[in-house]
Amino acid sequence: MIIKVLGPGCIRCKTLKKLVKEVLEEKKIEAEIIEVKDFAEILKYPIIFTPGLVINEEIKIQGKIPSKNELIKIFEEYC
Amino acid sequence: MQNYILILLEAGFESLREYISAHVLFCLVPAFFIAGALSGLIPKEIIVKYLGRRTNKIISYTVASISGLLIAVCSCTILPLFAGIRKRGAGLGPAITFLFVGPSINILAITLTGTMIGWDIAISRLILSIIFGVIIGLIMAFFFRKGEEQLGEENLNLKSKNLPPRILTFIITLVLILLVGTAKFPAQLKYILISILTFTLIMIVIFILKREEAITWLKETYFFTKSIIPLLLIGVFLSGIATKIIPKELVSNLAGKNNLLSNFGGVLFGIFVYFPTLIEVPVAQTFLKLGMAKGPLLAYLLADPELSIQSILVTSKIIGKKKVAIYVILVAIACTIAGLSYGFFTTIKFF
Repeated sequence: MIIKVLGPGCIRCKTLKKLVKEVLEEKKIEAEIIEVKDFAEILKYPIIFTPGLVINEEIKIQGKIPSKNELIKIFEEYC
Repeated sequence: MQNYILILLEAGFESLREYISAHVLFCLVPAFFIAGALSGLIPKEIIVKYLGRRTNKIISYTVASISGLLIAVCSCTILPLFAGIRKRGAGLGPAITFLFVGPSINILAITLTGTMIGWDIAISRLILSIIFGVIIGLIMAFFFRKGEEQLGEENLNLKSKNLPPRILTFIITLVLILLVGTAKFPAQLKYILISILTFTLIMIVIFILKREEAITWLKETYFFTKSIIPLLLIGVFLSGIATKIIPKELVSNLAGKNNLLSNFGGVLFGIFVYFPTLIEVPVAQTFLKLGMAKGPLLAYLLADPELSIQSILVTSKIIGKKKVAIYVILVAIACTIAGLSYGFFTTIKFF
């Protein structure tokens, strides 16, 4: 599973990345996390609100920071 | 030499002391809570759906210009939003209006400008941003109307969300606290009103808001505070030092009068010298203390959040070099004119 965190690096994006890492460690899921900070790259996805969470090139969440449970449910779709 | 450094440091700390005075604190703190509520509780989808090409122009431009107040501070919010709505078919005009107005009229910027520099300039910043934002949007929509027909299908109806009345009430209460805090009422009246409003607020939070809404509100407020306050304090400190170092004559000669050159100079400085979001306010205050006239000051305040080298580059990737060039020119002209007219009007005081 390839996880991309889309956002130019403000505090929300960092928080999202931290949360993703936490959940991955807790649930012992194998995944690659890529931070996409460059606007040109971000805008290649049909995203309107940052931060964005992209898994295997699909936008799963944008514009908000999910709760841990929401994130776990999303990851489970991919395992 | 040592003495000089000590004097500079003292200037920095004096600047901080002035800044952290009670009335500034009373205004800024409510503003952060409001920003947190706006950012966390107002579904941004609401704004997007009114920006389409087929929407009545009055509605789309009005929504585009007010949205700056509702979408909070981060410039990182504005650019992706602009790109996203363009991709989904938003009209060029309203999108440009949104792009212009967004960074200028967010609640924190206006409040900070009001408390650090003056409410007349803050309100002028608000009103002139909206007026010129709409004008620039309309001009660009007119210039580029031929290209608009080639855009794809409009797809702006994201999962339609509504604004629950309880959230509106909550936000209005917060805004009232800010307004009372900044109003020129006698101290006793202020304390009574603020106590009543704060009590009401607490009741709303405990009994009317959903738990996750209250938590989101506090989280968002915390995000803003954490990302902005440290920078702001540093900015204020450094601007105190700068006030001592920069020769007054330099500023007075370049920008002391309200003429075309000074205003344009203010705009250029705003475009080419980068400061993080909101830091343009302490910088402007330094200039004011060094003798910059009010017109060029407003021109600078309007221009700085609008255009930075980075935002110009990113925007050109979204709408193309030709449109960006015209946009930059229009913004420069608009800010210069705004500054000139504001400077002119402040000399004919009726009050």
